[in-house]
Amino acid sequence: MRSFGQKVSRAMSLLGVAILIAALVSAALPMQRTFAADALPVLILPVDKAQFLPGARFDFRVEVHAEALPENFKVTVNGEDPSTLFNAQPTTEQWKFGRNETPSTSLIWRGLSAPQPGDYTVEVTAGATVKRVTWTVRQPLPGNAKNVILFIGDGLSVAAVTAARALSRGVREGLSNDKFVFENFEALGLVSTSSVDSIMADSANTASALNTGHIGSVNATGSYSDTSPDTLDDPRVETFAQMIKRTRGMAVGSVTTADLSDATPAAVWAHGRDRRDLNRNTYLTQVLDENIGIDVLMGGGARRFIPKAVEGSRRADERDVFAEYETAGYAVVTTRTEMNAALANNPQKMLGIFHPSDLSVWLDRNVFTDNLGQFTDQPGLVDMTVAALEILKQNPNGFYLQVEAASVDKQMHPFDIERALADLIELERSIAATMDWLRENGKLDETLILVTADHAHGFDVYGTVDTAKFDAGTTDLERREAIRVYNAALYPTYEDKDGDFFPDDWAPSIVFAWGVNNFPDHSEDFRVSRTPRVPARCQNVGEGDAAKVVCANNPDDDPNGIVMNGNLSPSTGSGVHTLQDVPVYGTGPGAERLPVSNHQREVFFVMAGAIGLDLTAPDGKVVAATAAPEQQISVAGFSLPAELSGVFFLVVGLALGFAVSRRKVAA
Amino acid sequence: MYHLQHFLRSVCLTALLIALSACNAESSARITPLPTLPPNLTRTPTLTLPPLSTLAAQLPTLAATATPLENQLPFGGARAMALATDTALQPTPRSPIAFDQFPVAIKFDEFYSGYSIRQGLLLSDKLVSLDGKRVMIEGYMAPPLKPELDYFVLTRIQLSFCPFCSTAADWPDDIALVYMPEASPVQATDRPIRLYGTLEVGMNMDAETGMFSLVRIYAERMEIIN
Repeated sequence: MRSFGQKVSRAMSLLGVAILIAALVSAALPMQRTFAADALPVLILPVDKAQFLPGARFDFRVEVHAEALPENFKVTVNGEDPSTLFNAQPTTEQWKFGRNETPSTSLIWRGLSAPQPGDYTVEVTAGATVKRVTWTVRQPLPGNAKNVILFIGDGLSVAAVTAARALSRGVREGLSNDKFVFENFEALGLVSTSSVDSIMADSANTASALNTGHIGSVNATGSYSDTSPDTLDDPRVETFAQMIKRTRGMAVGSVTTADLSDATPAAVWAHGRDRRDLNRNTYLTQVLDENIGIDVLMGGGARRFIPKAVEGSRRADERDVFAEYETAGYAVVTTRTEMNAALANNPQKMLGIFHPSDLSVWLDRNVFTDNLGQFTDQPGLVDMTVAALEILKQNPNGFYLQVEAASVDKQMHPFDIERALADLIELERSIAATMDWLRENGKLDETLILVTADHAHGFDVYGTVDTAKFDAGTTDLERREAIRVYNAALYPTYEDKDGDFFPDDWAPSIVFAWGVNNFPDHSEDFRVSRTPRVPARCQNVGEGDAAKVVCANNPDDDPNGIVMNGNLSPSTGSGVHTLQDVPVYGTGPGAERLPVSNHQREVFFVMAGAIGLDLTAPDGKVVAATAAPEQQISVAGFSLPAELSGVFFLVVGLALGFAVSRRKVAA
Repeated sequence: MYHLQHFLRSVCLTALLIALSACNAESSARITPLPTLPPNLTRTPTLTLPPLSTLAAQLPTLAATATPLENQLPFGGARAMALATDTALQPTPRSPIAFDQFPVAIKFDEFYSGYSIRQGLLLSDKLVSLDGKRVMIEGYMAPPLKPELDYFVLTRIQLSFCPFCSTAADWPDDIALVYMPEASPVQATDRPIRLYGTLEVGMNMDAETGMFSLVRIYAERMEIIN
């Protein structure tokens, strides 16, 4: 073995050779200096077509991928110097990024806002590059809702709702015996979920789009992803919670069945480019450090709250985050019993953390309780939602609550379909409990309720499986004969005789035949799994340049199942998110503004419009006199959409003209 | 090309390990032993907070090395460092268990008696009673950084990814840091392994990687189970 000194000297000599080669190459090429004639890559954040509310806070970054800004470098917004227009000074930053150590020189203006509605065209000149993006600041919309509740079924697609409804309510001679409560809402729209950097979606930037109105890149929350090494310094956009907190003094809650630092719950308040480990820990302390003021936080993830030196911690610092929340006035609870006891004292703020990581799913809490380990006293989503409402209602200014059923997605990934659909039914029960609570508290008419997904999974039902016949099969071909389609499918035999809205037996004789449109190598027996599924196992293979990950069928998972040959990259061990639009169900004031079809960022503007949010008004409310001209026109007490008003006047005009001409004829 | 990739990977690893360790980065490979801690910082598995936080507050003051791009310690150096430094934090069991013979077989699922949401993992009496005793344990080698090892992470289940190598990967709770004897480093394997050695329990930071460990095994020998 070589000594360290020998290695250093070898490295130095290699470095010397590299420098020599670099010098020779650069001498042979034209000088790589920044000239006005060079077309330099320019990144402008926020991106083109970004939309804002007037007064919403954001950071503005311009990156030029060069060692220095060229002499002709210029930034204008609507022809003006942004520093003058926004009354703020930029900071210059430099770094290198990527495998090729690409240099970046950047200006960033922080904490800007555009008070006037209209288009803002940003033009950046850098060398031969002239790049323009246009932002739109929208008119604030009037609205009288006092509260907003956003339910997110993570990974909830229309197909998942259909299957869960059939499991929960049953279908007889074609008709569902009952609807889900949110299927009685008065508004429904479809929203697309694509990201700035990818046509595909991730829970971070999609939940962020719902909460900020800005689309963002995969893994990013409350920010546009720049190229700097720091994943927390990316240009930020303000969240709905921050806006209503600072201008309206409303109460805010985020409730989830996931680790609280996970992408969806954290999108209510957090800012960072990378949803992974270290940032997740930071998101939990951002609430306190940046005084964001989230009143109710409930979910799992205890291991991110305890100091690094404590065994079982996932923090990288020594902060005792539980203690910090307690000091900040939160009632900190760790079991359902503690939560209910604490509620008796009418706490203003609550932190409920009930599991080291994600909370256990409904099926494990209620059926396969052996999987709970020692965590037998976890609240369900219904308990947490109602508890959060009880705390939030104390604020006279109203509240915003985001409730996430996280494990629809978390269980769809490994095709643990019964666990996913049970958690979807639990979400529906939470919505039903919320409706009851709002009715009892006289708040139903002043609350906008939205139910949506951040993105979908490629799941659908295509028939039924005769499980006895399936099990009698000895080959895959014989097992496949137990799969029944079209009229042969008949009906599955799930039953809910005890009326709890969940099937009494999760393994009846006839079950759904379902599939997903993307999967690794795995086997499938269509049966509920007693323990959480691991459909494929992955291995590191090879070394150096040949190193890669290969996932293969897990022989311990559904050993009796049909072997499915994967259609994903071998390095992917579970199903992935899919492209389809997802539904948004809405009820209450403002729900009528749900788009028929739009990007999911529109949900943010629907929420803001419902409460008449105007960040430039002293009380944060759209004033009636200066209210934005809504796309409606009122004639003799009748309200007509703008599109129809033309027709109305045309008809009136024609009628009048006709009457006049008749009179002329008569005269 | 291979060297470049190797270098980039090392850089990533370095950043990760520095982040993991909260160590005071120093450019040299100087090793400073942990100072002797006052007796009131002796850790027991039943300690209530805040003594752990107090301990935690002290740990960053312990000078650590920068994570080297390559192993800069001689083989066995990390073991010697760990042996020299980890006795200060020995826990004591609530109900000590006496064992008839050594080595005692211990399984990963016997490490902890539970998890307290506010205090983290609770050490089992069996684990703590075996502190300083000879044990036999089976598990898997976590995908390592290099082919020839004088120390590695032993896990209950086979990990598919090298947690050292990816920021997204998480170490499971059921792990032990294994130091092989100086004279006999081992080859990396993905087979299940059986280890004989002396168990040490107590929070310690590895001198080379800055990795915190609660359970360490100073191995005498390793067998590959077929």
